Amino acid sequence: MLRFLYSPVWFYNIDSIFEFVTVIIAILVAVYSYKCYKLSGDKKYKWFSMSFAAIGLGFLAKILTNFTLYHEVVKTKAIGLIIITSRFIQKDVFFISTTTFFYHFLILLGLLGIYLILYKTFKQKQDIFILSFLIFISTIGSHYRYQVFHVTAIVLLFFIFRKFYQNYKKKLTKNTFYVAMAFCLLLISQILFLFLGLDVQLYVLGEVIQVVGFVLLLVAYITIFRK
Amino acid sequence: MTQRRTRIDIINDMLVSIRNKGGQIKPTHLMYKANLSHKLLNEYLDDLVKKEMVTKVEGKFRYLAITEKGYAFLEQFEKMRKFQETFGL
Repeated sequence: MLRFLYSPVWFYNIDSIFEFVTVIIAILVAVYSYKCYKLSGDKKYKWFSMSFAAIGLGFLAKILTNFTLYHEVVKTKAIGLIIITSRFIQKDVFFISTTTFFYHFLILLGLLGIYLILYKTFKQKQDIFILSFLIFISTIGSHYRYQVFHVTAIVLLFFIFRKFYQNYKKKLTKNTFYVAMAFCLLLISQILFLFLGLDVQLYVLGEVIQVVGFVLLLVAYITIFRK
Repeated sequence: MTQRRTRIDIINDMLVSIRNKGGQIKPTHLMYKANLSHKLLNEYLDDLVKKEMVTKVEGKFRYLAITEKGYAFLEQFEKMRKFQETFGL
């Protein structure tokens, strides 16, 4: 059974603003990585770019889901007729299911892409195929239990964070620290989302931590271009 | 073990060598500074001249000079290297 609404009422649309910020940052990284690919011809930049683009598009799908959901809820309250509301939700359930599917699939695919690049296994086509298939299965599973998505994201983020932390320990620069911290925060946010069934306030906390993580990525990105 | 230089690394090394010599260098000096064979130097030079990153200056001695495009490439390469380092790519 799909569970659509996680957010407390006062947080409606604020989360979409946060997600819009993450979309912008993910797209910025994707575009610059693609420029690096054009400059060097090195495919790892192309895959890195595509991974961040997938994450950006994934969050865009979530914004669409939220917008549809919150729009319906506000309408229900204004009209106050349960029958009308339920018919309305029925009409949009396919759209919401589809955008939620793309949100889950694109985010997991993006994280998988980053994982494969960092662990230098992106050249083995067989591994990429098998792992992408598992991501697809996980996305299907997420349709019935939203926890499946968060557990998969946690596993991928843990290994991504591990690699970025190792990179920080090796280089000891501010930038590598920001990136390691950013992915650590993304990992924490996914852990919080996993338990949001216990308390919806965890959703708010998770969203805040997630956007802070992306802002740290932006700080690292800006630092690259500072002279 | 040191990694084998890629094409873009070699181009960067050549342009850095020219820049460090004040923007102009003799071809033989460039060959030693960029650690290239004569054959490879000519091959890369042709490419750089075609891309307008380097120009050949004829005079009493033959010099190679870095152009604005060459400086722009160096700036881009430096940013790319920082990006690579930041994300451990």
